[in-house]
Amino acid sequence: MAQKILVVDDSVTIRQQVGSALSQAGFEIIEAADGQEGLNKITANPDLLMVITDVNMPHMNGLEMLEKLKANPKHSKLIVFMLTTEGQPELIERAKKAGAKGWIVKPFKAELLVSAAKKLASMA
Amino acid sequence: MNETSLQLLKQHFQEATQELLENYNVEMDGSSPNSGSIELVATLGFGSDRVAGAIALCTSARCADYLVKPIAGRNGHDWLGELANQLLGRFKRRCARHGITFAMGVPVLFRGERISMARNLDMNRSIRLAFQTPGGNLEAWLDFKTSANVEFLCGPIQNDAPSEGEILLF
Repeated sequence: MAQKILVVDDSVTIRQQVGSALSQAGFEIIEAADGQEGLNKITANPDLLMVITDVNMPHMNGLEMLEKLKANPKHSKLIVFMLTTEGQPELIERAKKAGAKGWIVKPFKAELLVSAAKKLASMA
Repeated sequence: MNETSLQLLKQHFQEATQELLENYNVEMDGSSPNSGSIELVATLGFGSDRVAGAIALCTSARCADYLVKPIAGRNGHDWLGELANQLLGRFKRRCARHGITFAMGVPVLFRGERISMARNLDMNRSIRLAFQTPGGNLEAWLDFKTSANVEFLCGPIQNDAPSEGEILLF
């Protein structure tokens, strides 16, 4: 059974790019367009392995989503990876402190993203 | 803002725009001084207590579809917004190297006909870059204001921010 990854980004094109790269690598992909929808999908998919999320999004940003889900013991083991155009050290530190496992600055190279996802999956 | 800071800011916006387009293999045939038929504007605001403003990427629907093709995307409107997002991210990282940082908004797209930047803007607070691509004209706009005595620190300062494409694993 394929391991399931949630991709959260307000750009449908980025969701397609990320989803395409990871599904070709054997992962099952589900999508959400913002942090609030992301939290709903996480609740509805208890078998999720990983979340790859943007930071700046409407309704709820990726850092708020990360902090909310890590505050819930049910999701504390979920692997979260940030994929964003932001590179501000304070934001990276906030994500790290909240429990994120990685940070990629857009634009990303598909093979590096897949490699990082596989590495994190193998450590789960 | 003094002349040196202003020139640095303009240089960083221009370089950030060109690097972004080159990264996605957008062919640029020199600069195009005339406004093309702009129908789509993807814009994001940014701000801090020292600097605030907005950037925009502007083009036609046809050119937006041209831009999204190399990445096998299907939605040119959405991709224009994402490109604007990535442009502001690049510009932000460059400004941070000179001690200027700000928070970013999210992309907003609006549609119109024959949209152009006002001709009577203060060019010390506005930048318009125009490119000719095989898909049509593409423009990048920056409009900004700064608090009194805000200057770029000359000579890049130490900055631990990762570069585009860099992966950090914790």
